[in-house]
Amino acid sequence: MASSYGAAKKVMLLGLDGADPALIKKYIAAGKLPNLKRVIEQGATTPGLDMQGVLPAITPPNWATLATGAWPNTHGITCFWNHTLGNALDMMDYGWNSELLQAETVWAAFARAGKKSILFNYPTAWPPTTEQAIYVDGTSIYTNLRGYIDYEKVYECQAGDFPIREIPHVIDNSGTDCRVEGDISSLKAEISKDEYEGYGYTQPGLVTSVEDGELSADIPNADQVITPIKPATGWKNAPAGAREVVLPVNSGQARRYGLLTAADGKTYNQISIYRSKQDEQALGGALANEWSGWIYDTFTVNGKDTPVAYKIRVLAMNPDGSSLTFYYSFVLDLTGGKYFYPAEIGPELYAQVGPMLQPVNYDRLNPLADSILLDSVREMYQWHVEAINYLLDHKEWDLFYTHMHGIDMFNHFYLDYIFPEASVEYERYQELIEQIYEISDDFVGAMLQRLAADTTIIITSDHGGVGKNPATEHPLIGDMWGINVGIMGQLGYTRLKDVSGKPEIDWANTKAVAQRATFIYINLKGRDPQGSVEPDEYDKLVEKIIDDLYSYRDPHTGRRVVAFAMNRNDMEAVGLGGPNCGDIFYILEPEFTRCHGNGLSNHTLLGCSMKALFMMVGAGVKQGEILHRRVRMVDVVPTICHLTAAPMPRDVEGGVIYQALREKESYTD
Amino acid sequence: MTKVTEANFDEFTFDSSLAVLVFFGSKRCKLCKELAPVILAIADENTHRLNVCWVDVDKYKPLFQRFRLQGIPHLLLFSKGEVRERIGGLHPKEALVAVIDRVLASGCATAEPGSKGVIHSDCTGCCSC
Repeated sequence: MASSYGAAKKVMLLGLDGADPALIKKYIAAGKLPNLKRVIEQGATTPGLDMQGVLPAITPPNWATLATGAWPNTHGITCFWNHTLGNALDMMDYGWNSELLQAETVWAAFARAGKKSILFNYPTAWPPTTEQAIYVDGTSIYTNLRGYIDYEKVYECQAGDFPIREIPHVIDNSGTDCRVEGDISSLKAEISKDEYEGYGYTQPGLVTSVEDGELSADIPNADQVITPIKPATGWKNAPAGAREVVLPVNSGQARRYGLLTAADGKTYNQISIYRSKQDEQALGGALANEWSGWIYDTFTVNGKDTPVAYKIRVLAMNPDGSSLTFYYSFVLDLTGGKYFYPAEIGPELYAQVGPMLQPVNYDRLNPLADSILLDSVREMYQWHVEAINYLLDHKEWDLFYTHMHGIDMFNHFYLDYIFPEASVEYERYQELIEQIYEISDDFVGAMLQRLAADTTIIITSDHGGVGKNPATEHPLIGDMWGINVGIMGQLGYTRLKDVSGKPEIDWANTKAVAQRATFIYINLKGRDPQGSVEPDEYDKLVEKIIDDLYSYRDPHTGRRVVAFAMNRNDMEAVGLGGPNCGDIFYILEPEFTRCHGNGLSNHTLLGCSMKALFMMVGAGVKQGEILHRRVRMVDVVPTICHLTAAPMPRDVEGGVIYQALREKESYTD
Repeated sequence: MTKVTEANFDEFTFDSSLAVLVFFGSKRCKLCKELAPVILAIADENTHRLNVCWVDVDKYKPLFQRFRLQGIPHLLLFSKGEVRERIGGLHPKEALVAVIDRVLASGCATAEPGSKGVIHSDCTGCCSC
């Protein structure tokens, strides 16, 4: 055993979801990202700054491996949504759930040794599994995304006398068929955990077009409120000429009053929000084209007065006071501890650091909306720096894990448009991508200030991301959102039937389905509840489907779409197989992959890659070391345990990255 | 029951000094027809403390949408300028009166789950329409 054993007392893992080592190299070569550059110079990494991630190259399986040191067939999380053999093929579980993890986590192993952890928005950490850790969410891409009280809105205020209209972000609630949100199609797969329903991740379903697949999650959405501007009447404290607007809040259940005023008596340039027209003081407000500060209010939630906070941002204001459009952020419950463990950590953070602004999602692909999104992301990262520092300064800890999702979000939103063939504004989109890397680098820089003699910092991503090749179209196979019908339908394996005017899978005549990002399931009798294929037909059918996948050609280009396909036995070579995988695992050629997920984690395309980032620095780590060994994602956890002399998690499968570690003499002198 | 429209809705509800019970329903809805006499009786017996309004959701879909209703019949109880209670489905008069008593007595505080007079706000008895 190398003498670097126990060289560190504390380890911090900084996860940058979606960070592409290829882009980081490019930006550093251009003189950007000084903090990541410093990590490379003072620590250890590989020539490409990358490591071998696990497949599929999707968020939950990779962060689960970084939590356990185990391959997906061991830890059991195999896509954004999970499926367990024996359940109906259209039943899936939300893959961020710690209850799905079948391998021991590094924080559970630390707890066995009496060591304490802080897990800050770490995927697969929630719900809590040890009392020896502080948990801040981990159920979604952003901290506390499911903790909102009121959804973000855009208020469109127009002079006139008309009824207030509010168009909630839900698709259709006309009531004509007593429909419930999210239950429009009975085809949608079940989610076993109700509490994970909510923004961003509605139930997976039947994917019959590119638009209804995972790309639909990238479409911006917000409540829309259309409300009249009138002369201000009945106010205790309104200046002459002021105008008023009624503002529904709290999902339409309450109202606030907006007062439009002109600082010079002529040019309307401010909106102030009041709880009542009789109040002396406004709750807050914003000037034209500016953000407000935090607006502290009290909403009735489940019958109780609940302190909340939100911000507004004026998008457009006519100087004559005849129209105003403004954005209203997700509303945060300042007492809410739902996704914190212990629960009081939430209110404690809000009291010490202030409220957290959720990233804006009301619109996209226009300069104003994009800049406002960027503002909100920048503020979110700064909140994380302060909240993390607060916990690290005031709580006991030996291990810190966090995950920041800004880069992946920007990859999904903007990477497709960074090419001249894809958008006339490609340079602006390139700039947006660069800015999210700079925000992430600033975050790393803030965390590096905690680098002490006894602390090691490891910086990773789960996967990178590539922009859509402008020369090809996405084939309709492989979607983490549910079950694809496209190519598997064309090949005759998945059949549909019409039920009350809507397509449903005809299970009796369906031999196989493409489920989630990279799996094909045989609809097998005796295993799958609606099975149609006899077990003795299984092997030949698997072979035939693999043949057909290799033979399939893109109708536009004539090119082969599938890079490789493996049966249940063969996929064990890439860490898959077992009860949470399909009967066939396949990967698409780089030219046809979406941002990430259905491509190989080594794929590169048009200057971007799907590779995962790896670098480490600090106690016990060599300085300026470029490793010539292969680093795999499963190696990170055993390396942490080695450095801190902590017990290895029960199911660890990786090895210590000894080549990155110093001999004891070199750091004790 | 006062019939309210999109145009006068806020005036009759949020702006009312008296508490207001709004019945969202439709003539085509069997459960709404069963609930209607119950609501009429509540209206008759509580004129001193409650206004009761009717919204035909087929005529005023934007109102249904504005309050994120998921089915009919649905009752919204307004008090002091806010929606204080949402009651979906068909319920006996006594249970509805208990909710009104509680909300009006306490201002807005909700009783603990399981206590007398609590009706889950979900639309448990949606009509098949």
